[in-house]
Amino acid sequence: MFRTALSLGLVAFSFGCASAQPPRELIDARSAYNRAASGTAAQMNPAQLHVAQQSLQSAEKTFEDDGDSIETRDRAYIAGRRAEIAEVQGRVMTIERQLAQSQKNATTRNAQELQSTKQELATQEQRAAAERARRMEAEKRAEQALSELGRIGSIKREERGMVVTIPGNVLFASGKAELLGPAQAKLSQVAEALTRVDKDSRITVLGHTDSQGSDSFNQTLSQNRAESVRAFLVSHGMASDRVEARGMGESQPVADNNTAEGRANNRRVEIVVEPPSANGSTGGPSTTQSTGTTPSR
Amino acid sequence: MLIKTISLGVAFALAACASYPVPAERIANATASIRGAQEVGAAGQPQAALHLKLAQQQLQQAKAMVEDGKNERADYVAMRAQVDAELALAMAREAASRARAEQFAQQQMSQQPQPIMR
Repeated sequence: MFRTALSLGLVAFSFGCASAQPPRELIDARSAYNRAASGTAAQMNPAQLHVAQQSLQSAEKTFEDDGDSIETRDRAYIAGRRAEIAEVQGRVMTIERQLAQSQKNATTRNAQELQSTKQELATQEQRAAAERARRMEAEKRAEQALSELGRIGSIKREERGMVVTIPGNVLFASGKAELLGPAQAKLSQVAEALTRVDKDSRITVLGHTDSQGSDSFNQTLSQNRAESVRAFLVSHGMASDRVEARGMGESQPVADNNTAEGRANNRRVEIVVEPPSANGSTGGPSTTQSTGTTPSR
Repeated sequence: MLIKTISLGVAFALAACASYPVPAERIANATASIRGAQEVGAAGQPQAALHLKLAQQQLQQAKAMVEDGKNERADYVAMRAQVDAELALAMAREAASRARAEQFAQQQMSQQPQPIMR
């Protein structure tokens, strides 16, 4: 009887620990595992989470078998740490993945910005090239027009603009201001060429005489002649507010009035094409800024 | 009969203790893990530093237990040191990753979007 009781007691003693409270380490391990399992570890590093789970199961088994023993506590401690490791590693992988995605997005954005900047520059370059081509074309047309004028009279680039000089005897009979018949054909060519030159240019028609005869007579004659030419140009397509006529009389000789040849050279009409003053873009030939007045000699 | 059973049990238990091998590999692994955690800067991050210290203390305990002939216990304590070192390393890595992510985010914010030159 006593032996049985003692044995039973021993048996009870050895199995008594199994119904004891779980150690703190095991409680902590369980909640650590639950935290880890509900976090990113399940998705990011399931292998480490699985290791933690096996650790916990081993600790639980030891607790079942031995109760609150040192071994139970050790296993529970280890299981708890493994769960925390899984949780932390899950967070690390999440951060790394997001960072890689952000870096990739930034690279893509930079590439796109670079691309659109390049396109913008290309478009600007295209526009600039088209503008250059347009201007060259306009200049070419102007040059062509003026070279045609050169067949009628002489052309010279001066400070005041492009000057077309037509000998007086081509246009007028001696002492007269009415345009000769043949002159009109030539002048219509001049008018046509001038309309092709830059539309913003101002045209000044200057009448000149030689020194024979009185100053006042020459002044009047040269004025009338300039106005005849002006009227003709306007009637052949030039805008009237673009063309001006002035008589210079004998005041601006270009040759010696003591020789017949010199006097013939002085008797002339000058058509001056002035570049526009304010607007920089011009098909006109002169590069000087025009102030609107002809410099006196 | 009962006393014989008890003595036999005790003898068996004693024998079991004596035949448990020295956990040399476990102690070596724990030592290596501690060094690894130190190398990634665990000492500089508060939570990591805590676990690094725990690892170091438990490693010392395990070595002392080996000297006392308590090999089985030493094995477990060395294992605890190992996992504490691994956790310290993981936490140090997390701090480093966060710092890099933060630095990148600040870089992005400080960059003004470049206007197209006109």
